[in-house]
Amino acid sequence: MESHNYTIRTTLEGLKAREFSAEEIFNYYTEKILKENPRLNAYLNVLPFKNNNQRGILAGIPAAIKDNVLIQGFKCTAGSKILENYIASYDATSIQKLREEGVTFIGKTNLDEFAMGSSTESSAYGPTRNPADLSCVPGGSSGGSAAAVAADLAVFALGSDTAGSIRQPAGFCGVVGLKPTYGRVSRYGLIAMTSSLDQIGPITKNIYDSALLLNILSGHDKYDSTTVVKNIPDFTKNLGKDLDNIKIGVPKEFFREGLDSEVKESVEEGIAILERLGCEIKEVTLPHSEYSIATYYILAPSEISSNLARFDGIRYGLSDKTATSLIDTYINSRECGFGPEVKRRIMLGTFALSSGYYDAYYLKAQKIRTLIKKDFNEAFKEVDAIVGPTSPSVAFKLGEKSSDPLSMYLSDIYTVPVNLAGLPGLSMPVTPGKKSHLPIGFHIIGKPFDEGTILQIAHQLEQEIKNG
Amino acid sequence: MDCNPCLDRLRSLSAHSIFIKMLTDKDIEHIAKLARIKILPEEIPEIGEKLSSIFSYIEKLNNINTDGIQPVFQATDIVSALRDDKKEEINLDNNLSISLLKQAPEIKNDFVKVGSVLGRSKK
Repeated sequence: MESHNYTIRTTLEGLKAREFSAEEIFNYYTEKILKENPRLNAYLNVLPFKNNNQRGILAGIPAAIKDNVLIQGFKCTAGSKILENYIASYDATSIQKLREEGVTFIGKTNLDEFAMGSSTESSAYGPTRNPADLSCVPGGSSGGSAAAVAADLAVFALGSDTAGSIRQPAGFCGVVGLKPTYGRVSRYGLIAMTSSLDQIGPITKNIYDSALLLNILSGHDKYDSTTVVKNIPDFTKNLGKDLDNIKIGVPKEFFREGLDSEVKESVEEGIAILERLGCEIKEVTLPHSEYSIATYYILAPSEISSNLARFDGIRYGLSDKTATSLIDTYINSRECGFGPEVKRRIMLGTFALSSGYYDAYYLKAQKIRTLIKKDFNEAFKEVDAIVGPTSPSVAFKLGEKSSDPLSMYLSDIYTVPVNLAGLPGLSMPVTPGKKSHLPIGFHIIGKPFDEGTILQIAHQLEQEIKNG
Repeated sequence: MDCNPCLDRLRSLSAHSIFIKMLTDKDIEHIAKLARIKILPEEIPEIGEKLSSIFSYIEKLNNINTDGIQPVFQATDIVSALRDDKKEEINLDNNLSISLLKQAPEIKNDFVKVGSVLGRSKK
């Protein structure tokens, strides 16, 4: 087969016209992965072909799955040595839903260890490289998924987003990443990092695919009591609608110092296109957004220290066989199994939650979260969606930020507030940087459960950019 | 509560404001112990430096007065979806239990076997 950049629609057309069978397109991707993965390290492993429901609406579509989402019978490492030999005993709900629609799973993709990072460099299995420039990171933590989609090593991928982990790598690699509203998609079978913020979402080559996948992934799940019992609209329905009467907010705080000039330029171009398409552009303010990273680095480590307490070498995962007492089994297994960033966050959280410090750290952060959420509520009284850059810079070089955790954390400065407020957010490519020629992500943030509007805006912008 | 010298030292500070936390070696050893994480003495300076830089960044939250503000634990106001309090048939999946047990490093008669709880540590 020739080289294509298959989307869901073109793959379905190819299957329908019998240009290839489900197994042939699957093998086409597997071969391509074997050839190209050594330089990218986007995949941690490839899976055997299995024909899932042939009558499903995505029958025969090959997908890449972030390696913190469980597929029954296969390894799930979460990018950590502690789960090097862990085999999932059940399917995540999102996997179950894709399986029911006939999606085939080609492989598991690389990620920062336990999804903690913004560059995929903290993976125990080596960093992933950005297909647009191999000396750069793909972003993270869903860097493997974003790189796989950008390099056409899958038709689409699943990622997870706690602080920007779908949107930031999508932005760095030049693909579309959607983080749904918290509670929209089940987290059952997603290895927990920060349970009050984690959300699974699609990484795709276009907006239509993103909307179609959200239709399938959404919905209440009895195994995740935080999923909402709500009717799910058809998210593809709004895609053709024009943008007259849509009000777009531009937060002045997202365009201040710290934002690279080439990112600013491309994002402003995107905003100008939206204005041409009939949107009313308004400046809005999110005064507490500058406190988001600090708030996040109390809340996330606190939940991490609690969620990762289960990795103790007793029931599953790496276990130190030389230990003679229970406490040594815990300590030695965690010592061998966890990398430096994971240990750092566990220690931060352990301190923040330790006796006498709950009020000063965790409770204070949860109160500031209220203020961050209020800012968005106020802004959404005036506008239908908020736009800005996904990240302050284009993809940075491997090793550039890995020795300074704080500078790494700050690369999520525009995405974190969205998770703290539980909102849906999407990153899509706009004009690449004029200087670096690297992809730039345009960030669209919506009201809770209003993914429909952000997809509508994104689709019009995508079509306009495509038609030049 | 087991005593914690580094935390006691700071207890006199306000419980509602974050303070610049310059961690001592002792603090780090103590936190590591609570977290069941082993730290080698030569690793302490670097860990201390990185944790302290994060703590001093977090300190900017003190600029915000949060008196009278309600905390939010979950942002989208969704209510936990609970099932009806009705009897339900549960089909226990025997294969699932076998597969879960197989993950354990050591099992004996369908139980997970662990090391000695009370002592016999190697020292």
